[in-house]
Amino acid sequence: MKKFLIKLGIFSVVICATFIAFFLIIVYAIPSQFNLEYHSVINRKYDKLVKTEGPKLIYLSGSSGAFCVNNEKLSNGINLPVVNLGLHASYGIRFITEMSKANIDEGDIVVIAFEFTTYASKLDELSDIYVMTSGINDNMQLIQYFSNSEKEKLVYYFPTYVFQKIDRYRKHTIPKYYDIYSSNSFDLDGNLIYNRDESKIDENSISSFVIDEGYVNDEIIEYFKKYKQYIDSKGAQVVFNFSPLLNKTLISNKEQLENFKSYLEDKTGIKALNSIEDVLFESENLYDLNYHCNNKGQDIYTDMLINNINKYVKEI
Amino acid sequence: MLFNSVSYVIFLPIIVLIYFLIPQKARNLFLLIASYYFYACWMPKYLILIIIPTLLTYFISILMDKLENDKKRKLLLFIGIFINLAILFVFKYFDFFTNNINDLFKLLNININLNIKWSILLPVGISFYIFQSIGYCIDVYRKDVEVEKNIITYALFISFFPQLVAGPIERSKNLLKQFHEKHSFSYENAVCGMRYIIVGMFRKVVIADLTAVFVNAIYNNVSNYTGLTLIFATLLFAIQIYCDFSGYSMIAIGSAKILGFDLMENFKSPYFSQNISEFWNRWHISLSTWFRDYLYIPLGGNRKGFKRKLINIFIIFLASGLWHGAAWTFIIWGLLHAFYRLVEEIYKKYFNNSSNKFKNLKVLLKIACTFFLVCFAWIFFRANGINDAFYVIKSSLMITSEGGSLRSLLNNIFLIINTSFFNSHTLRYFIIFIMIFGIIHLILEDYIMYKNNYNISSFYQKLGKFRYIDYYILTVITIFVFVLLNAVYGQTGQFIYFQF
Repeated sequence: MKKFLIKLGIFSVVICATFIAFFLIIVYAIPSQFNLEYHSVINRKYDKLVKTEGPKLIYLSGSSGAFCVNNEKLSNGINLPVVNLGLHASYGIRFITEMSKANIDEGDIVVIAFEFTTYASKLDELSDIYVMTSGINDNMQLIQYFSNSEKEKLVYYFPTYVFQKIDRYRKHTIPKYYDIYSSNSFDLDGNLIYNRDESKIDENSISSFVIDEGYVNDEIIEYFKKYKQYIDSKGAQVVFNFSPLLNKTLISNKEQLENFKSYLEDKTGIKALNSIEDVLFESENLYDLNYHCNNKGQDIYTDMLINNINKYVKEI
Repeated sequence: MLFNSVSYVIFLPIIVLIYFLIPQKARNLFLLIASYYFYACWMPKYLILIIIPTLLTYFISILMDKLENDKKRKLLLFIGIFINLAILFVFKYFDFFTNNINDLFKLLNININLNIKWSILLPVGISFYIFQSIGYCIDVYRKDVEVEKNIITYALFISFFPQLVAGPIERSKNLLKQFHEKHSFSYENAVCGMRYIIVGMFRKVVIADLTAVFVNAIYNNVSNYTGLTLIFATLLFAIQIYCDFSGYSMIAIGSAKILGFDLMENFKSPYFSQNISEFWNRWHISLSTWFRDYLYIPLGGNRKGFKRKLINIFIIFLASGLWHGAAWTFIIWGLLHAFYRLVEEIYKKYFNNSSNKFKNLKVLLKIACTFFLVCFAWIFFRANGINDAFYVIKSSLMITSEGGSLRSLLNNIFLIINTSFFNSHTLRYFIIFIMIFGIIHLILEDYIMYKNNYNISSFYQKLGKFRYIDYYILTVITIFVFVLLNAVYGQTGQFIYFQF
């Protein structure tokens, strides 16, 4: 049996080495092909996170963070550097939150502001492997923040990634980027700089939902509980701050909104800085989707956030 | 559990390791538990459908062995066969039967509707293990084998996981006695088994599952295609079903071989057959020989005159068609093969001349003709209904029509790749390249085995050092295509013969 196992072992090593070599060639020998993708901005945000010394404010969210927070204004308003990791809901709650662990210092304040609808799903259901793989854009160190199931999905997604990358390299596929949804809409620090004067949201195309006490998935509660323990161990603070939303989308009554908030606070042990009613915006403050602020909405929300953070800092 | 799954790649080494580590006495029980687990991974409640025929044939055989009175023994055999076939009928043929009775009543203007519909999931591999149980009963009745008194050993014979769900349908004479032998780990067996598994996986995952993408796209929408595209789909189906089933058999033989068991070869380069009779000696050998041993010979075989021989052949192929599935398409497929065989027998009897002129050309023509006839019958086997089958036959001839041309075929191939996988220029050429490579590899491999009467293991033995390169290439391609298919479909394809 020994002889057979040795031969089988050598054979397996050679096969594995082939795939690793192939992986490295595809990733590193072919230049990055996803630089213009909107979601590739995650790399700039990650760089900013790693480079920014504490105490600082780290903002965790989906795309609402990119659209509704003016990072410069916020930073000036709270006298702390701001790292805004909000970019795309398809990264999921876990990836963005895990990534924040790359640089948590004593005195940091982490603001959790994921969009309401993301709280209802299981952690694994939130992420989209296409967005994640093309988004990290060959920055393989970010794979460490993938969950095990996302890593498994990544293995299965690899052939698709290979063909897409080769297609783009050989100019067989030239993607078109529309308006704001390109990395060109962001500065090198990952701040959205695209001008959004107008409101072009189609209210009728957006479906409404109700949130209440049982809306949040238990898995997410457990995850945030553990995350709080981690943040506490680092000597930092973590809070919720609900992100803006088109008011017509959320049809819960006042009591239900309160139930949702207190349930989230009680179960996770993380304080929420604002009330949900404060962030139910009129369509004139939103850009193209129910979580995406235009310039006006961004200013309103950033001011609110500054007040909330300053108030919180005084309390602690 | 599918052979072509990550679960099986983990399952098999664990079973092998434990099997050789535990004492000899406990091994059969361990394999039995492993086999039931293997089956239960698909649907635990259907385990009962294996256990019932197992217990039934076990007790009937024990009783049969004790009795001297031939009438009583025959009665027991009849009960055993009847109950086994009844289980098969209920789970496989009941809906087909009631539907056809209803259609017949309608045709005869009789106002009766048998409003009974099972609509239950067909238990995987039911035809295989039921036939194995029946075969054992007959062997015991004929006193060809000694009755198995140990219920664990007998249950393992019926449910041995490598061949449980899609054969080879083993004979008690071959397999049962092996469960009484002591198996030690052998390097030669393990290497031989791995060879079978590598080639089997390549055939299934790479050739069968990739060709299935085209075959399914075309055969599930036949009315959208004509001419060469339909011919292409039929040819690909011939390759798909061969690689799917022979791939399964190879993985089964290989897995058993590593454990020290010899299962029978199920395929021997069937598409190099020079006539239909030879084809059936090379295709699904365990089923053809089962029908020969347990149906054809008891019916009289060729011992009762030429006419009776023809009738017996007809019955065998009708039964074979029915065995494959509860649908008229399978019955027509079986009848077509019966027709081929009858014509062949009549030709052999009355017109056979054995001139040696143009021998090689004749051989080539015979192989081509046989392949054409087999492919023609496959149309019925694969089509989603009789109307579709006739549409394929009629429209395949329209190669001069706009949609039937070579250009249309190429467009259709590219379109199917883009819609079935994803839109990628590179992927198109990759898929086509891999398929061509796989098919050429298959033809060369089968040709060499056919010419030299090799099996997969002796084929690789003869390849010398070059065999390592072949293992390497096949394994790398298999893993890559496996991952690709999983990414697109969430899984690799089921084996076609699971449904039988």
